[in-house]
Amino acid sequence: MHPDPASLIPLPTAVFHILVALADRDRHGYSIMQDVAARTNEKVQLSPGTLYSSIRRMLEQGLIEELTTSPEPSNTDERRRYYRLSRFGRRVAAAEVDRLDAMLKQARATGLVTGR
Amino acid sequence: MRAPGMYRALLWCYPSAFRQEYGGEMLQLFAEQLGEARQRGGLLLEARLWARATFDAATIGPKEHGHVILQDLKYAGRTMAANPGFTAVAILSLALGIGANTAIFSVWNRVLMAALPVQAPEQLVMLTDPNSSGVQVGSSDGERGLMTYAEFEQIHDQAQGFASVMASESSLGRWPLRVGDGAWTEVRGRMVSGRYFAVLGVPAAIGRTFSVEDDRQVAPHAVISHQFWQRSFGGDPGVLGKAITVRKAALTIIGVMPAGFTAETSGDQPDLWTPLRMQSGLSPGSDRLRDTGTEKIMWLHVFGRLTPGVSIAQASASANAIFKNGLTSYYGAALPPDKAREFLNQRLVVKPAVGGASRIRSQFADPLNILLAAVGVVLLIACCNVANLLLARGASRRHEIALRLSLGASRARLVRQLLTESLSLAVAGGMAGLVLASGFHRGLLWLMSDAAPDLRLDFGLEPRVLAFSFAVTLAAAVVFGVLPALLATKADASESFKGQGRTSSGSAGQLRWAAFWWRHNWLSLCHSWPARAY
Repeated sequence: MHPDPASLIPLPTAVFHILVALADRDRHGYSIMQDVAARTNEKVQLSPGTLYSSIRRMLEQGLIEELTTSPEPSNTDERRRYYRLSRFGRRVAAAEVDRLDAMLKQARATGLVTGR
Repeated sequence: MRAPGMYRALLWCYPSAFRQEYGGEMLQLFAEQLGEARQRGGLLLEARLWARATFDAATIGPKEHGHVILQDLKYAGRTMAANPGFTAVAILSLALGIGANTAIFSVWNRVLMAALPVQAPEQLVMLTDPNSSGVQVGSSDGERGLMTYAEFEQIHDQAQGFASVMASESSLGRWPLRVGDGAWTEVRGRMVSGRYFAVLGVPAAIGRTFSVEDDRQVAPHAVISHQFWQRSFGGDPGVLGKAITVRKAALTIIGVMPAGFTAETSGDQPDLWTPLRMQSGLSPGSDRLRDTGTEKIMWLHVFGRLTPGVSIAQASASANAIFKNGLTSYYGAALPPDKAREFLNQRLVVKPAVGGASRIRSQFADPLNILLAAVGVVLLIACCNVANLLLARGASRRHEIALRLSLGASRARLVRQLLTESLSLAVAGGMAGLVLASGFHRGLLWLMSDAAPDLRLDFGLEPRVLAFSFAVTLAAAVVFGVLPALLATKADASESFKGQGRTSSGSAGQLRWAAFWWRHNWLSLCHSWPARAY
């Protein structure tokens, strides 16, 4: 039984980036880190401490799941552990996007920022 | 140390469970980040990675520890709530033990150990015997216990090495008093010299205290305690200048002392103070301010503060020279030479007075020490009882523990969990104990009241008492928690699964044996020790 997604909002920045990284495919820790760095032009670089502390919390909250087998047959490194976005995690990420979107709209409506 | 070794060292800042779960991947990921940085040829990049890893260890590590502790506390709370009978018995046992210890430590501390609640008590010295009290009439020899008023005046006026000196009546008077034309009530009062409050370094909360002028002439003034002010005047700030009658002496209130001021004698809480010059007015028919014949009237304690840079030995030499001169001139004229020499064999011993005078300190030192040791044994018995309960519960929880061990939980993690449960019980017992301590404290004072009817000690959670209770609570948790936790987690997982539902052997058997041994040997030892001791 998961809590109401609204109860987890707002999400910490690292958690939101990890959810976004796992949105299109399952990844291991290093892959998550690389994806976040690439998407943010290396402005956000997750450290191992931040990454695994967030992963531990997200597993407990049910936002992500750990896979028992590697989704990449080519991967021979058994030490790599893969994570998948859960259905609940997807709902929470969507709720966070809605929140950010609403905030952005408010900022645009007041003329604070411009753009579509 | 190479990079992996250094990073492994940083990983020790994280809880062991987190380290076991993610440490390997964190190390691998950090090595890959480090490799990339080296490929890009940036020493600065490498330094940033190390700085970030160190920062993470110092910030995320403690957060993860907090998370584990919170989890353990939640689990402990659920376990305690699921076993209300066990929890109630354990907390009550500990509350009785910790409460009794706290109450007796509070009295022990106040009577035997506590410093006077005055300014810089470590700088106070006494020229009289702290354990003497009352009125001694006649002559004395050896170390002088109390002083006469004339002797105090000589020391006050002439002694070198003292920044200031004051005197106070060594016993507490019980005086009839009435406010205005009101009813008579009995109060506890003390006559003191003009510099009394100045030497103690405690100013009045309202109004003023006495001055040297009160030593020079009969000044019908009174300074009252905060408690008496609250009790008799309802805390009226207009109390200054009000008239009170003590015996036949009409006095005017000139000041109110602050709350918590308990004066220079441990266990005494006077209601009011009057100048020594009021003695004949407060005790009609007797004159303690003058020595006549060979019958000296010794009734005063004398305190002082040394001049900075003067040692106790130097001040003592100065005071004794004046004291001996006074004795020589006093007895020399009135006694034959052989008697005079006998009476001159007296001296003052100047000593630190951090704890002040006390009529009860020597009287109750041994009983309080024995009582403190005895309640320590009572707490030990309480711990034994709780340990016994935990051992018995450990035997019933072995399947749960074996299951968690088989699922990968480390023994250290389970011991930590069980110790958190013990600590939670101890803290709950400690808090309940603090509530009971106030009642035990009143009971103890009631028991002491026959021997010390004037004793007044408020129960307060002073820092030292709180620290003692905290230490006792922690010690109790260790005493009753460690052995059951170690034995309970020693159970081998597969053995426990195999043995489930039938008579088990091995570690589970050890648990039962330990519970049996604890109950029949350790407890009987604890119960019989006090009897043997007395």
